Amino acid sequence: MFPYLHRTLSCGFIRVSLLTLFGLFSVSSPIPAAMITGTVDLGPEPRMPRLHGRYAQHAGGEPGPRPPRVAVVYLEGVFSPHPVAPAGDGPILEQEGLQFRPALLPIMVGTTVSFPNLDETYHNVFSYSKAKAFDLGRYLDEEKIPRVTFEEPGVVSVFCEIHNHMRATILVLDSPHFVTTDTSGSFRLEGLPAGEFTLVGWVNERRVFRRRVSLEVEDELEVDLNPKSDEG
Amino acid sequence: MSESDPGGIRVRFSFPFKLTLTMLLVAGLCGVGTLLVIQRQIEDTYRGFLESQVTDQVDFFFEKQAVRLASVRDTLVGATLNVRLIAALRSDSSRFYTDLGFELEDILQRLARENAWVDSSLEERQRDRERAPAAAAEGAEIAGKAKDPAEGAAGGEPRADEDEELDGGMMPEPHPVASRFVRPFFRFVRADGTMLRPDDASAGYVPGVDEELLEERLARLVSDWEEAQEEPLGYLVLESYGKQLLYEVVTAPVIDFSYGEWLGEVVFGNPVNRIEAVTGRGNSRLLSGLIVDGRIYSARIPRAARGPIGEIYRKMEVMEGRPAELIIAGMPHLISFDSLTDAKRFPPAYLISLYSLAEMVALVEIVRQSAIGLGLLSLCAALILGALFSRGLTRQLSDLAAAMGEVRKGRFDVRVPVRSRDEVGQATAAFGEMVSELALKERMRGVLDKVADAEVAQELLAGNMELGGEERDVAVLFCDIRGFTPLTEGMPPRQIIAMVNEHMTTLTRVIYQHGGVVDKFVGDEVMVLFGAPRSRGNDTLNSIRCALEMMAERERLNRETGRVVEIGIGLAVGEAIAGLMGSQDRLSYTVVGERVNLASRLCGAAGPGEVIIDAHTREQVGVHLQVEPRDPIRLKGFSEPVEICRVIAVGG
Repeated sequence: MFPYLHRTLSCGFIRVSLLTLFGLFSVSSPIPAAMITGTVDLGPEPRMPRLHGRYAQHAGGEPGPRPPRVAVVYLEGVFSPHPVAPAGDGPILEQEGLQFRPALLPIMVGTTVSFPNLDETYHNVFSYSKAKAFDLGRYLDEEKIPRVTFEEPGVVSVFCEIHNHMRATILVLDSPHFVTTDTSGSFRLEGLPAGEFTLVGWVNERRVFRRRVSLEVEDELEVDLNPKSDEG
Repeated sequence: MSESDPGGIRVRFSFPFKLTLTMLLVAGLCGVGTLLVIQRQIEDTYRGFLESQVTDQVDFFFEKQAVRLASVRDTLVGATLNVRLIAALRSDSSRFYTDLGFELEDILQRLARENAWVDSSLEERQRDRERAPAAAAEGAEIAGKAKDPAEGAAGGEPRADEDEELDGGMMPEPHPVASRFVRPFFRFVRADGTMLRPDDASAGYVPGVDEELLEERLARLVSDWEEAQEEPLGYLVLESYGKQLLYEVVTAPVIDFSYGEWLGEVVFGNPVNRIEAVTGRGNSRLLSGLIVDGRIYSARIPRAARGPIGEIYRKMEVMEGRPAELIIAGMPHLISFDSLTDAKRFPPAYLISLYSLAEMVALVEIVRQSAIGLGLLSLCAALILGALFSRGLTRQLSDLAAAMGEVRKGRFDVRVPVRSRDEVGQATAAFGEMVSELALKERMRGVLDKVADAEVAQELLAGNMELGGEERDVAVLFCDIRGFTPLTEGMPPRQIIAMVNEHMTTLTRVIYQHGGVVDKFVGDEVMVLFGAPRSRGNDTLNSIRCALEMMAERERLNRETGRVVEIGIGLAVGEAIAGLMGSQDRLSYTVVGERVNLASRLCGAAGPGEVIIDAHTREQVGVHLQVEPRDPIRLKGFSEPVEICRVIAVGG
C-alpha cells in the first residue's frame, strides 16, 4: 500500500487536493489562535533635498504614483512545527506604471516570487542583497515570467536598472505569521500560537520596532509599535 | 668806458656760447623726447602682443581641458546616476567599484590611450632635441637651491643631461608600479566622510599612498552638498615616494532619488603625468606651469624663476588677467595667473604664464643706442655749422660796435665792410649810411653855427622857434665903421674882406662875452641884440658895457695892426618885436620896432669912437653913467627931436 500511496502523493493533483482538504479542515475546525492588533508608527515622509542642475531633472520625474508607505508586522521566535513555505505559485511582485507593486512584500523563507512585467516597456529587475542576489535581465510582459526562490531570511532590496526610482523590498522571514499594515500603520495579526515571541514592526531597514509578547491561547492583544515602546 | 667794451657792455655770455647751449638743449630734448616716446610705444606694443599670446594660450588650455574632461564629467554623472551603485551601497558594497568601473571603462581606456599618445609624442620631441643639443629647452639651468615653498618637482620632459628627478612622471627605481604611467583612480566617499575601500586594483590607486591616507585626503573634498551638484573640477597633489603627483580631480554626487538621500560622492582623479599635456607646449617666449596649493609644477619654468614667482603668489597679488612684473636673473618678465578652479573644496590652483621681456628690452636697447648715436652725430654737425656761422656774425658785430664807438667820439670817417648778405650785412650797410648822414649833419651844424648866431642856431635846432614874434624888452646895438668907403677905396677886395673879418671877429668876441647875440652883418655894420631870444638879466647894462668894450677893443686893434679904423655905436633899449622873420624856407631871427630904428639912427649920428644912447635908455640902465649930454637931434622917422647923450663910462 505504501508504494502506491507514495505514488499517489507524488501526483500534483492529489497534492493540491490534499492541501485543500487540509486547509478546509483547518478552517472548518479552527485551532484556538491568538490575535494581535495595533499600529505601527510609520514615521515622517522622507524629505527631498534641494537639487539643481541635471539632478533636478530626475527628482520630480516619477511617472506612476509612488506606492503608499506601509510596514510589515511579524512574529519572531521559534515555531513548531518548523514553518514551511507553501509550494507552488507564490506571491507576485509586479511592475506596473513604472513602479513595483507591492513596494514591501513579506514572504516566508523558501517562497518563490514571480516578477511579471505589466508595463509596455522593459524592466530589468535585480538585487544585490546578500540574502538573495539576482538579476532577471531585461524582459517584457509577453515573455516567460521570471521567478525567484528565496531560501535565506533577510532583507532583499529590489531595483530596476532602467528605472532609477523603482524600489521594492522583500522581507524573507523565518516566521509564517506576518502581515502588511495599511497605509496608516494599523495591522491585525491572527492565528497566532501561544508562547513567548517578539513582535516586530518593520518600516524600513533603519526603522524597526520590537516588543516582546507572551501569547496565550485565544489572546487578543493590542500592541503599538513605535519608538517609545520599542524594546530594541 | 674803454675801447675794448663798446657801448660799455662787457661780453659775459658770447653769442656762440648761447647758440651752442641752445642747440644742445634742443637736440637733447628732441632726442630724449623721441626716445622716450618710441620706447614707450615699443613697450606697449610688445606687451599687448605678449598678452594676446597669453590669452590665446590660456584659452587653448581651457579648451584642451574641456575636451579632456568634459566626457569624463558627463560619464561620471551618468555613472553616478546608475541605480546599481545605489543598490550596491544599500545591499552589497563589494559590487560598487565593479559596477562603477564598468561604467567608466570607456573613459579609462581613452585616458590611457591619450597618455600613451602624449608620452610617445613627447618622446619623439625628446629624441629630436637630443639630436640637436644646441636647441635644448629653455630653463634647463638649475640656479642654486630653490626656495622651499615655491619648489615643486613634478611633471617635466626628460632632458638628456638633466637629473632623473625632473623627469616627468617617471619614478626613480625601484618602484612597485611597473607601468610607466600613474593611472587614474576613483573612489567613493560616503556622506559621513568615510571612504569605501576597493577590494582590488580595478578602481586604480595612487602609488605610494595607502587607502587610509587617500581617505584622509579625499574626505576633505566631500563637504558641500550644493557644490557637489556642479561636478566641481580641481587639482590635487598627493605625495608619492617623495615626489609630488598632480591629479586633475572631478567629483560627482551619488544621490538616491527615491529617498532623497545624498549617499556620497565619487572622486575621480586623472594624473597629470606630463605637465605639458595639460598646459600646452608654449613657445620660446612663453613658459607655462601650474601652481597648486602654493607649489609650482612646470616643465619649462626654470628654478631661478620659482622664487620670485612664489613671492608674488604669496603676496596674493594674483590678479586675474592682469600680469604682474617680476625680475628673474636680472631680466624683466611678466607673469599672469588664471584660476583653474572655483570650487571651494579644492586647493587654489592657477595656470601661470611666464614670459620674458628680454626681446623687448633688447629691442629698446637697440633703438636707444641708435637714437643716441644719431643724436650725437647730428649734434656735432650742428655745433660745427653753428660755430662757423656764429663766428662770422660775432666778428661783424664786434666791428660794428667798435665803429660806433669811434663815431661817438666824433670820427665820422669809420667804415665797416659788409661781409655777408643777411640781416647783419643790412645793419652794417645801414650803419655806414647813418654815419655819412651824421657826418653831413655835423657839417651842417657847423655851418649853421657859423651862419647864424650860436644861440639862435641852438634854439632853431631845438625846434623852439616858429615863424612869428614876441614882444620883448631888448637892447639893440648898431655899430658901423666911420668912413668905410673912403677907407677902403683902392683896397683890393680880398684885403677889404680880410679887414672886415678881422674887425668882426674881434667885435663878435666882445659881443659874446657880454651875452649879446649878433643879429646880422651888413657890410661894415653889425647889429647886436641883448635880451633876445633870451634875456640874461641886466641886458641894458650889458649892452652899454659891451659898447664901451667894443670901442676899447677897436682902439687896441688899431694900435696893434697900425691900421686905424674908427667905429660908431648907437644903442637903444625898449620894446620891440623879436622873432623869426621871413618865409618858411628862408628866414632869420631879428627884431623890429621903433627902438630898433632909433638905435640905427643913433649909430648913424655917432661920431668916430662915440657911443650914443637916448634919454630913455639912460633911465633904463639903472646904474649911474658917466655921460656927455648932447643937443637933441632930429632923426629921420621921428617926429620929435630925440634927447641923446654920449656914454663915457659906467659908474663914476
